[in-house]
Amino acid sequence: MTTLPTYTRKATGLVREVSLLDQVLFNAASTAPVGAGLVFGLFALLLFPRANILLSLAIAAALGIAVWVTFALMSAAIPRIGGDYTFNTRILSPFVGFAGNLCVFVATAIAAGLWAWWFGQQAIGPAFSVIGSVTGSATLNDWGTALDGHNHLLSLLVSLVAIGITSGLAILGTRVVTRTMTMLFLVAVAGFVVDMLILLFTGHDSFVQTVNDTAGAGAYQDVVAAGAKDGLSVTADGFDARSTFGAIYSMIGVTVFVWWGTYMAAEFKGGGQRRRQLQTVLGAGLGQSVILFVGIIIFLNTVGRDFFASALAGNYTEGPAATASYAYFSALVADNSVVVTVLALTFIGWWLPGLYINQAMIQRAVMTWSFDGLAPSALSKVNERSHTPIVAIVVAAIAQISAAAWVTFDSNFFRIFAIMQVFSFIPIVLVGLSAALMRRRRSDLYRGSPGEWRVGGVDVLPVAGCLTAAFGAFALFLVYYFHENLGLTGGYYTATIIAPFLVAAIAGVWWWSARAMQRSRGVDLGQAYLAIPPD
Amino acid sequence: MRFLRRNGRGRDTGPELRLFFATDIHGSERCWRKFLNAGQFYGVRHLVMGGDIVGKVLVPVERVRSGWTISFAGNEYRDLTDHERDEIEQIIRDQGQYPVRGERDELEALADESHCEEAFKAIAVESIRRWVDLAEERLGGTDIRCYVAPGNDDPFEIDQALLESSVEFTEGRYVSMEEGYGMIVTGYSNPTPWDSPREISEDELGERLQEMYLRADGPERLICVAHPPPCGTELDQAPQLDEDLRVQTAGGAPLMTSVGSSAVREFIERTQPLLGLHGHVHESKATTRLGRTVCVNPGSEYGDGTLLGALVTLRKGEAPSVQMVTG
Repeated sequence: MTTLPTYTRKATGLVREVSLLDQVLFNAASTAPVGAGLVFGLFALLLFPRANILLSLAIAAALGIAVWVTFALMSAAIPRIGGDYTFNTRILSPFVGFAGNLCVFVATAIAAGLWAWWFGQQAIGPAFSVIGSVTGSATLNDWGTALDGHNHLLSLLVSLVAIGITSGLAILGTRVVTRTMTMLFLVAVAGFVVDMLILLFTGHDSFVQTVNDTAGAGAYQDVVAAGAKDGLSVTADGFDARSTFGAIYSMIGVTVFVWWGTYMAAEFKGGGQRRRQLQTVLGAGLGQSVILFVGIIIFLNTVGRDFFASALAGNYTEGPAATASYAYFSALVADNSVVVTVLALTFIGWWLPGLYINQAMIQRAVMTWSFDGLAPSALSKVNERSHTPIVAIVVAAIAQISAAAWVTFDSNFFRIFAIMQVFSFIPIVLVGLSAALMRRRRSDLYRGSPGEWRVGGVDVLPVAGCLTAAFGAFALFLVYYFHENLGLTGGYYTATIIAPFLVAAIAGVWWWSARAMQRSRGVDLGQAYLAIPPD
Repeated sequence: MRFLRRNGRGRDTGPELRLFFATDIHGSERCWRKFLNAGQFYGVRHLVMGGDIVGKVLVPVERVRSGWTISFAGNEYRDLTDHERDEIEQIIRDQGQYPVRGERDELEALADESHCEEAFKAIAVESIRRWVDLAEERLGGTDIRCYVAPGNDDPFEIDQALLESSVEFTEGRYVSMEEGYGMIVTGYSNPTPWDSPREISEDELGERLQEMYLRADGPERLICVAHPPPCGTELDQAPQLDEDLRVQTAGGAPLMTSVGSSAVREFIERTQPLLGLHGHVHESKATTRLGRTVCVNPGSEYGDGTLLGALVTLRKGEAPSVQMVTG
């Protein structure tokens, strides 16, 4: 017998949902999407040269399912802007929620700094190098080299330009910035598809011939031999289990963070809400994983795994093999200056949206704290003309510039990336705990909500929550266990252990100071989160 | 009394008036119960409900041979006993929806728009009567005053139930509170795409506010409770819709637009009351200033039974102190 539908009347706010594709796209874009994900995913071969990265990717995606289900169900149960902050303040405690969100702030600030730096080092520089190396333009090659990160001041300057562009667009209006970022994203996707098709329809032998024609007879074989000498050859030495285990860390970084779209407010909490959230988060996570899987297979089949691992290690110097990977090698094969120029320019499209989405998260955190009296009210003020939070945008820009300066003047971006990951994984642990404890601590929010989902008589959310907390702990373990591979040595390793506790201490001082200040004005911050007993 | 403690300068900072403002609970019985308890919980004597108190969704509770069947929030509840049915119905009410019992054919008849509309009105009135009885039970014998005005989404049929109760029906009135403070109240809004019951033109809304203002004792101690927020502020940002009421997006993110009232804004800028209390736009929880007037929209999260509100403290010669709370 069919189920009877609910009936609605004409009333304000009953809007139709954002399209499924829109939500999936938003979620996918909130991680390192598609092409950018492929570039970073392939970096796993630099950190863990003999890893079976396809197996690592499959394991990361399988483990990610629990995290995606948790975030989807939590968002279905509490469909509010604020994400981890909202879940954790309501279910665990206000202080824990704030401390966790401060970790998100630190992580997104570092991520935004990294994206700003990558704009020069991973986007513009490689684009110039790709065009220069294929068209034989020495000038473009020089520009590409100048932007490879070794000229710190120039790199910082380009980072500032990138931050200036996204901040400026954000100040002009949400519509302007989101439309611009969508356009850039779609352009980059189009370029990625063409690049992949070029590599797909290029045979391995033909690719080897192209490399030898470009870099000199036997160049390809020399690079492979150099890699084998360094112990990087899978053909000679086989896959290494430890490296494969370590590469799970890299693959988590490019697949798991796909839930930001669930923070979009949705008033109509109907039966479709749970299915919708599951579809959009799982769709984005699994979609991203499948695209990466296929992309890696196409890329490594054509380019050759041993050659690429050796090239990443610095044994190939003819072009930006590491930074532009697929874009560079497809350009090499295409060998048509117009096609190469267009494709190289599309590659730039990935990086500003990545910067913007992290910038938006910083603004959102700052504004939420301001609403709750934890930060000055000026931070949540919205300009009446542009309807944009100019003060929050400026604060976000300052955080990004600080992080960009750090990245620029440090010698190893992998370790900064690892530190950023530590601060990203802590909120995952906390949200996992919230999900596991929601039924017990906030049964009023859980019971009858779309988050209350039973499969075979078992409540899914508490189970998924436990697995998510375990996932976050496992991801943290990977960072600390493989700290030497990730560049976290000496003082950096110690600092990475201390930093989360330091942030928790800062959160504590911040929380109790704000509470004391607000109390002097007759405002009790503790009341902000206290649930009024209904009975 | 905690709020009468002295500050560091040694001067008595005790408030002259503290109030709790919440709005847009859209039928959530849990939010209403919390609202009634907010007086004692926060230590305030004035509870102000800013409108839109009626629900939007009917949930069929079907009588079947083996008991009752309910499909709600993605969950199927089958073969329920009467006791189990009552429990699920309470969850439905707590989330701002109305359970409606019947045989399958009776429930399927609700698909007819006019029949559905009538059913909604009848259930809404019955629900409001139950709410005001609860208010009487909880607030009777206390010095807590409870003010309620319907909002643009509320059918006129509920007015009588409110007028006949001990809660103070404030629509279109100037209400004297204490210490010379008073408020003018309207739940009417400027036109919306949904053509809800209490919508009037911007001109009419301006006239309505002005008419009440003339009955007040000047703006110094005046609170303006206008359901729609002033337009062009952070209090009135809502997703932009197309003609089919679809949310417009860019890059997957909703595009936001200003949906507040120009008449409310013009009135506040011209008369400069002490405080503006607003609702209507659930996703625009914010405070702002228009000249000397502090404007507040506490937002709404009624769907999960969370009562968003604003605790407002008024002191002589000071700007209102506003604390957003998630009750």
